[in-house]
Amino acid sequence: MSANSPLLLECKGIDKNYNGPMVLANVDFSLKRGEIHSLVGENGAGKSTLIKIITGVTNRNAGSIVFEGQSVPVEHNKIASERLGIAVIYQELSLIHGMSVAQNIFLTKEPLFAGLPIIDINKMNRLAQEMIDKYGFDLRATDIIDKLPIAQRQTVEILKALSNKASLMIMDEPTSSLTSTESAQLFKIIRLLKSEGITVVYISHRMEEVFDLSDRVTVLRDGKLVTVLEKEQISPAEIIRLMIGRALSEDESRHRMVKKEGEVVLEVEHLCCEGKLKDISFKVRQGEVLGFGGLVGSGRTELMRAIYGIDGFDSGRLTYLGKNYVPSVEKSIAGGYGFVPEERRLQGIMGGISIVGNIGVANLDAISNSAGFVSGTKEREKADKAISLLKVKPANPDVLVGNLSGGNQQKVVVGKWLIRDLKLLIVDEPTVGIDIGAKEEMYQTIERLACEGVAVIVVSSDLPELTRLSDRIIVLRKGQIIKEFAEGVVTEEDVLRAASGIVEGGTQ
Amino acid sequence: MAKTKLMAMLTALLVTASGVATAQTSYKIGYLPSTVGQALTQAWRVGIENALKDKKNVTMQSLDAQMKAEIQVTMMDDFINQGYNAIILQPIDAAALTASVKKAESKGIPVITLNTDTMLPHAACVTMDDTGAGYMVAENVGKSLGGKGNVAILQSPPGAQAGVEREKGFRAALAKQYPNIKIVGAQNAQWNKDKGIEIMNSFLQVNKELDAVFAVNDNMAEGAMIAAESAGRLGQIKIWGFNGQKSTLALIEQGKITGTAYTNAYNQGGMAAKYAMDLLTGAKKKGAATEIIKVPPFAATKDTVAQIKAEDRW
Amino acid sequence: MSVSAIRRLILVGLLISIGAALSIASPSFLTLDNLMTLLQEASLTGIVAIGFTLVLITAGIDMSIGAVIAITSMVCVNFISYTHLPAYVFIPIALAGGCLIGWVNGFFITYFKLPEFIVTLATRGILAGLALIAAVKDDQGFVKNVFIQDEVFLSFGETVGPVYIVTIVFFVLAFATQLFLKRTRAGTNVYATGANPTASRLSGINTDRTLIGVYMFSGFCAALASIFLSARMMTAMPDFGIGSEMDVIASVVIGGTPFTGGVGDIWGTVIGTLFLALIKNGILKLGLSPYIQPIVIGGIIVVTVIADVWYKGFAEKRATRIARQKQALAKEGV
Repeated sequence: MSANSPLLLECKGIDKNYNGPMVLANVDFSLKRGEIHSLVGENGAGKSTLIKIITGVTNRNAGSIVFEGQSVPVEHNKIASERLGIAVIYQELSLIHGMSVAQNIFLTKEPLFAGLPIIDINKMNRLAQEMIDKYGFDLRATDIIDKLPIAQRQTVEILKALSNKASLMIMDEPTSSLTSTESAQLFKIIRLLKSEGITVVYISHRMEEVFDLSDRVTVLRDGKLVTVLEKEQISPAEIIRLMIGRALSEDESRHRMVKKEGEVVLEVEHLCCEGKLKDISFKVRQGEVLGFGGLVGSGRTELMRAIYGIDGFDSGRLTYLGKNYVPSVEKSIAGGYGFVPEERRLQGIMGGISIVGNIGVANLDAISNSAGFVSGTKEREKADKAISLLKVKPANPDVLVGNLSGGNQQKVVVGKWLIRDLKLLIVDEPTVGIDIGAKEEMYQTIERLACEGVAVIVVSSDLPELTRLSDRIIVLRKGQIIKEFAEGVVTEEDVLRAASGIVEGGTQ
Repeated sequence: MAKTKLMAMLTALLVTASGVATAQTSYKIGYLPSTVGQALTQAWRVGIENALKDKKNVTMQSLDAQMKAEIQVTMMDDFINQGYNAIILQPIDAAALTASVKKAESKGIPVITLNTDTMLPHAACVTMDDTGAGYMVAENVGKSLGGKGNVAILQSPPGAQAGVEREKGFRAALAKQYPNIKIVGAQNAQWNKDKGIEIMNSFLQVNKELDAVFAVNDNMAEGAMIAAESAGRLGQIKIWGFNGQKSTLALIEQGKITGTAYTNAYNQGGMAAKYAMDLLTGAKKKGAATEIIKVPPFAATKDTVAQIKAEDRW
Repeated sequence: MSVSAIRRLILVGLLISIGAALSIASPSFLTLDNLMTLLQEASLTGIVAIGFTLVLITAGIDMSIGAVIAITSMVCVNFISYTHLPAYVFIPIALAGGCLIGWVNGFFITYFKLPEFIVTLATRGILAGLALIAAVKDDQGFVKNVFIQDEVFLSFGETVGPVYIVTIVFFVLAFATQLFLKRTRAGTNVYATGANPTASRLSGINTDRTLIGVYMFSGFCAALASIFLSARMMTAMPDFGIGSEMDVIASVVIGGTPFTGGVGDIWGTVIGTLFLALIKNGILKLGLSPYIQPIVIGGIIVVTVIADVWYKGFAEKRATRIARQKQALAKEGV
């Protein structure tokens, strides 16, 4: 392949496994010069892994990569890929705080005074400003990064990549934290990049964005290439069909929503939180599993945090067990609310402490006397109870939680609440990062709790999981309830369409 | 009446403010010991104060060098910059303070050192005879043990000259006169009592047969006594200290500590102050070499301690 | 005006007013001799503080600085006592020794990913012990503090006109280091590494090399200060510098370099060092008990840090409020 071939990048037969199941199997992926190419697939389809391989963050097990006519070695690395002209605009932004826009753009390649190792600050600022003006961005070279909103920081990242003479820019969910105006601005920039002959790989769960922008779309599913769609073949409905793919059998894909008649445990009315949530109202009943679907950034986690009392909200009203309720974490725990957070390692467990300790902390009231002294025996009883209820392995209460597998860690987090007199349990992404066997056990636990009369709220991006567990599904989009599936049959596709904002064939 | 008072205050202010102009009639003497928190340095201070008591035109200021040579050097600079007329100094380290002493003397400020001499000549050094007194202690120990036995030493921190001289004198006497007395241990107890207890405890554990201990100051001797007493071996061990502070003399009277090399620290401080005044008033002229004034040691034991008068105990 | 500029202005204001108050309270304060000694004192701490500032900017800490001072002075005194090498030969060797210790610190921190505090605390202990072992002994094995008479070596303690050489070196080093930090790529890398090591690596900065370099510089500064200290005292003691870490840390923190990394500069440290030296000199001049000195210094650290945190929170809140207002205006505009 010569340097003037129409293809900028060609990957063939890429295999990757992380000491376990295949994450990518025989995947082909190619990019034309100056195209906007979307990469889509469900969570776990292998998009991030493919990107990591292209950018040299991780190495492939098999397959070949040719970039700009040059073969890329297996032992590739991040810095080498940058030198080739591959840039990633990171989701968690990789800018240096405390430095100016110009300093960030020119980091490690600052212009120097001729023959001296001294940075020519004036020249650096001038060059940066010239770049900014050329693309018509609303920025000043001397602005300090910390003071810029997220969208503008992203612009700085793009400028940084441009200054590196990148010919390929990869954007992973770039709009997840942007407002719609900001997103529109970004799309303008992306089209500008295209007109400059730069190839953009665009990864997003938002089908309308993919539809609007893309010249071609590559669809991945379960680590395999499904197909590559040409411009005229692209439609949101088609992409969703391909992503979910597998001609789902009737029982797999269709789930009957069940109406439960239990008492209302929690009622939320007109909850608003500036910039995050807008007029949210719903009820959850005893014995019911209420599912929350929606894309990452649709406000699901924010909603859960608000009703549990971690973050405040601006207006709206909560009724818990028939009484007006202003949530706070302490009151929620005392009132029989359980919360299994999204980021287990950060928010749910204390890895350096034993199972006994982790369970004890959430149940101090139950294991201590009025003077505040903790009873070792009671603490152990509670831990043993949780371990046997949830079949935690190993069934040794003194094991450090950090040493347990992901699934067992999750059981401990759930176990913290299980041994209380639980009335409402909120689980945010209950099975992220745990294996299939443990997933099934987690589902059974949730179902058993519901049978015992606990109201359960499940937040999940995993569509089969959401449809399987829920008696009712509420879909959020941009901080609002966009759809509720309360009765009848629902499929994964229905949920994804709603979450992507597609109403009957077109975009909303 | 009020007017005279005001006048007196104004005069005093003018006198202090104009420093040099009135140097002949008013003097400032600085006293800079290694640390102010010890019986010895407090006794020196009392000695200096007593000697200057009837001299209305002399003020005395003391600073605390907190046992750090760097701090003492800074404080010397401060005395020099403030235009003090004479400095009485106990150098924490002979070498480290030499430069400061030289600087002071070059600006015409005589320095009288206490116990530790410096490397270059200055006005005078009023010193306990450390080596001689160490020698004297060893003679006493040797005699009481009948020329045979095991001895341990509680040392001063590395580089502390006075302590080293005492230990050297002690060792020299044993080597020369009592070659059958064995030194079974020597460790640094940092001049202080707590550390003395700790080190003595380890000596007691290691040596089932320990006949005598020489601590190069009284604080460490008192520590050694406490350790020996709680081990129940106080009667079997002769404990000697050095300096002769009041509390140690009392313990000697009680028979708990065997003896100490007593020096009259009040006298010593007084001598230093008097020497300074003599230089300032011109009664004495500064010589080319340092004048060494030795204060003789006195072996205070249960038999002799009564000879030390109450007013000479510090 | 930025937060750090306001902060600096307040410190300089305090510096001047405390100096003025002392001039009135003590007639010997505002004399050339006293001011020069004060600067000499400040410079000895300040040289070490310059190196420490860089370490703090990378969000690290170097607890070994005091022990580097001790061991360097022992190295010099051994050369003087046992060799006939001239000072201009062994002084560079001693300074290289300081760099080497810094390299060891940096190597353990980067290669084994050990916490900075633990690594440098360990080297501190080891070096303090080595200093005692290396101390010159007399024929009976007692530590002997050598009176240094090497004229070239002692010239480091001299003055040019009324100004001590150490003071000149301090200001030159401060100027050069500030230039390095703000105007060279390597200096920019120091800030980047402290502010966000991951982002720095992603931007192609070799953060390990930056860290090792910073610890080497810190070792170098401590060794340099040690030579000036030994020359001033005309001797070397195995406990030189041990315990001086507090003053260094205080100077840097008062100067406005926080422990969180990514921020700070040398001028702040220079002001912090002068501030601290002034306070210490003032306590002496006023004849106050030396025991209140550590209390005063501790108090100043607490007050500055609280003021910093409080002001930062205040500034952030104000920034958010302004941003909100802007957003609201923009919406109305639409």
